[in-house]
Amino acid sequence: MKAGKKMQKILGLVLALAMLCALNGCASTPAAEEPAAEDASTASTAKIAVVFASSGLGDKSFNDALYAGMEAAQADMGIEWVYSEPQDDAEYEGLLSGYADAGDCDLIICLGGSQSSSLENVAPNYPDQKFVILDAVVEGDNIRSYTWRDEELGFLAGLLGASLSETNTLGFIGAHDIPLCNLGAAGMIAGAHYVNPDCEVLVDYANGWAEVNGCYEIATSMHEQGASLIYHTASAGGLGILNAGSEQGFLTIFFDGNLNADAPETNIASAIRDFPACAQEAIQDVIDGNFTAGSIVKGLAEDGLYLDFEGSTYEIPEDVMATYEEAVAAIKAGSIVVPTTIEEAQTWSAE
Amino acid sequence: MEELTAFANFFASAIRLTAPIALGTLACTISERAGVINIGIEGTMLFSGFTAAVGTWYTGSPWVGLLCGCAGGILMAAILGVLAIYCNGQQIVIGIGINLFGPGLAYMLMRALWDTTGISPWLEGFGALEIPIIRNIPILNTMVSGYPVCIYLGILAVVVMAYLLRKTAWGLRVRAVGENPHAVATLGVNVYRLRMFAVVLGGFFAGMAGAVMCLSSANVFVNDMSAGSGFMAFAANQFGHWSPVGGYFAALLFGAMSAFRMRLQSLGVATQLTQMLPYVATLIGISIAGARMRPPAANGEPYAHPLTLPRAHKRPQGPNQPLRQEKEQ
Amino acid sequence: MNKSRLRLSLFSLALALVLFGFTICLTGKDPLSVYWAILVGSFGSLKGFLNVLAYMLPLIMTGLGAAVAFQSGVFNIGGEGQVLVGGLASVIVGLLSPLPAPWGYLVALAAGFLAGALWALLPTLLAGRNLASLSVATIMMNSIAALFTEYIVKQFFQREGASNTETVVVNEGSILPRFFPSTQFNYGIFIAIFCVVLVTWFLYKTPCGFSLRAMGNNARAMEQAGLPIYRRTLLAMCISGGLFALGGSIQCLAVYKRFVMGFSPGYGWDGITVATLAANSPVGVLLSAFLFGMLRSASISMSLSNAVTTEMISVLQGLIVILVASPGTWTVLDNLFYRAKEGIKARFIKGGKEGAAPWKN
Repeated sequence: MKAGKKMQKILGLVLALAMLCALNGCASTPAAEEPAAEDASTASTAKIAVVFASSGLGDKSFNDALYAGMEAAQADMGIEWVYSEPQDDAEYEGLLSGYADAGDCDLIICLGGSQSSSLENVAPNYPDQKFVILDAVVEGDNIRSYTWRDEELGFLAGLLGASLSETNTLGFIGAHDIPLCNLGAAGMIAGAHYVNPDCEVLVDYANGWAEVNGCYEIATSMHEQGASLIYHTASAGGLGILNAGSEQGFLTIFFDGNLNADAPETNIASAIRDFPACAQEAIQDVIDGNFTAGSIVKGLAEDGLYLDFEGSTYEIPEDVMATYEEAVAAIKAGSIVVPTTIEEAQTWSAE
Repeated sequence: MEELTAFANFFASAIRLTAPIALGTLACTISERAGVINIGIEGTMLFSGFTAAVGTWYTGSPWVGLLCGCAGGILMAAILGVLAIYCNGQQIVIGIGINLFGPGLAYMLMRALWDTTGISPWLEGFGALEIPIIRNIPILNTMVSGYPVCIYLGILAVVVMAYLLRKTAWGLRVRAVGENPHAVATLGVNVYRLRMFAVVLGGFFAGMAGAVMCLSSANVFVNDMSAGSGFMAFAANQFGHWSPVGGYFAALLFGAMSAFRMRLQSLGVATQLTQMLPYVATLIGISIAGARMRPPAANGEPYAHPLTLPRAHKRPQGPNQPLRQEKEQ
Repeated sequence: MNKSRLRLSLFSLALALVLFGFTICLTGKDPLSVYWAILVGSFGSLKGFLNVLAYMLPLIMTGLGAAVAFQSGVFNIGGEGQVLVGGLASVIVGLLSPLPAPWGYLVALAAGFLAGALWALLPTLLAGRNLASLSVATIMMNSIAALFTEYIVKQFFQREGASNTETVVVNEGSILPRFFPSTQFNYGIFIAIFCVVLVTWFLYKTPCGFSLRAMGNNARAMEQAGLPIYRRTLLAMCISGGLFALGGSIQCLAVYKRFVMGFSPGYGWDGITVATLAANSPVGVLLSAFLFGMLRSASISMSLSNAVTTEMISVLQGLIVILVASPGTWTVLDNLFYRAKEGIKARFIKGGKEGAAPWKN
């Protein structure tokens, strides 16, 4: 009984403290934050909020690409932008609704497929708030989704690999066995078979977004099994593949971000998804007032994807480049439709 | 011949994958032999990986990086040591705290230093060490030669520690302190100092593990790159019956399982199932060897330091009520 | 949680805050502004406060799970795996059962509890009577659970068109309702409070709970008294695993309404820290879960305002855990202070107790 009373006292104290803090906070925070917001609206510039993916800035990959794109947009379009870097997937919902609550953002950009379920929860509560999600499709009247036909990049990687290979073996490493990562694998298998139906593509997964050492070893083992070119969708793990390639002398194609200069002799190209362009397109639409919801898919045809050869010193033979250009044209024209799952890719053939 | 080459490649891959885990295991072993459980290896490895990266980045020399990594490991172990040995802390919980604190601190400093929490700049790694004569023998060259220097150092550390623990007076004392600190204390040995030294030595090796993780083949520090190898080390230590050599082989089992499953790509088994291999193997191993497994008797039991006892003239009823006395003061 | 233990926790908390302040200074920021941001983030608005409550929910459940295990002297550090498996089991039942609202999610939660209990039972059975290897076995089960849930979802429940490994949304009746759609705070709070009461009653008012606590206090004595430890260990692991799993179930059914790979940012590990701060008392778990929920909520609001960086929060969490886990720190500091004082006295003011070593007993 006595203990209960003490507990009561303590609880009371804690609650009182909490109330005090709450009152204090209520009174002072809006005052502290309002002026900044008003400045923004009076200057009549668009304010954009970006929620990055939990892998964080500095990933030499898609977070950094979007960051650079937003900086460029700030310089070119005169927008104002704020961003946050969640530490884990559980923070997305809080951040998204936090920005939506503030109400002064014209557009909220979500980066990464892992935000989709959080956005699905948040978006219906703020019908007037515009959202853009990159790399996943979310249905909603106020959401525009951008996705990329990653399989087309994989196709080109597989095509180059199979053309350059003397061993008829290629390798693909994904971060996880999830549909997003498998797009690249499917494309690569199809691309390899397009050039050489006997070409085998080894597929493996690192089981993590930051498995640099794991990817290094997987790439090494694939090289031992004869893989002459390794492509990946392993996020930061790709750095390990890049290392292994330049140490052991097999070819690599880096994904999401141009790191050709870091291994110029073995990394023949970098697969780029043009995040910044999409973000800027959405921002421009918001500024012009013709933002529309819906799903937009970008591929080679829309110039949303490309292989960047800049910075690599590897010489690709003329005839291979010719096949490559031909395939790019065919994909752009729609005469080659690249499969999206590994099962489809195994039986796929170009018409 | 082809099979032999394949095996040699597999072996080399296993050794490389084992290296950081084995050093972490060694850290656990020394610490637990002295009676202090260190489950904070995971956090220690991430923190020391970061310090190693900083050291290498500043000086351009992986050797300085290795030293910095060890220093980072020692710092984390010192926190565990001081609180667990001198302040009677709960060792496992402090270890879990270190798993939060170490990486958090690393990322915080990383942001201050490089303005990112993702990936460090490229670092100068340890190059491969080719051993003169062996490098010309066909199969042996892949199996024995050509690893980064730090991997040889790791194996050397295991051998040296195995010798020290088994054959020297110091090793005997460390082992005794993990079994029965009271008995050792009656012989006039300073239990606290001995335990502290063992824990810090463990931290040194855990730090080395972090450095190896960064500088052997990745040559870059990545947010969350240890991916559970600290916990693997904790498990490998028990699996290896608290001995440095046994621990190394337990870690090698993990490494070999991982290397093995990386060679199963063409089999078409679901990747999640093959990735379970190392964990399931340990689980089964433990359930078989479990009955014979005997940890150091005083493992995890604090040996109260006099400083943790309230002063005589103000000690009330119970032994553990320090705050009530402060009020009386 | 008795009074002196509560005070110890509070003092350790204060010390952690001070040390945290120094760490912040290290990176050249103003610690006071960080503290202020934490307070404002959690109490500055109704939304912030509801967020605190929302983030507190899974932590209460996992904290309770850890508290039951630790009170029984069983080191269940496989909480993370139990959370994942519990979440998955609830979602599967939620997908398959056509039951209407209250029953739908109640059955799903029960399934989560059962799955967690089984997942905790498995390593206990495998480790056998050697309890030393139990911690290793449970850690292994964490990694296995992550892969296992991924495999099951991928094979049987993968949502078409999703880019991640995730299931479709569970049936209407199995969704644990939220109080307001715009915050994650949900009916799980009733489950949580119910569990706190139930666990308190079980541990302190039933013979079975008493025997578990007795085992936690002195297992050897119990064994010598002829009371079987192994069976009680199994029981403790089951209850603790089930409670851990409920944390995952609530999170899946209310927040995501489906199973998403990587939904748990380490709730299992956080549970252990929550229980430690609470000195393993079920009611204390409520308070310490509130504190950790506050830190999480603050981390989000800090991230929104760009004022300070969020990785600081895990530093603070770590410091709190480390210091709370070593209650002896205070006596040591007290003794050291006394020693220093006596030393100064002996040196400068003649007539102090010379040569005496008062801290030695």
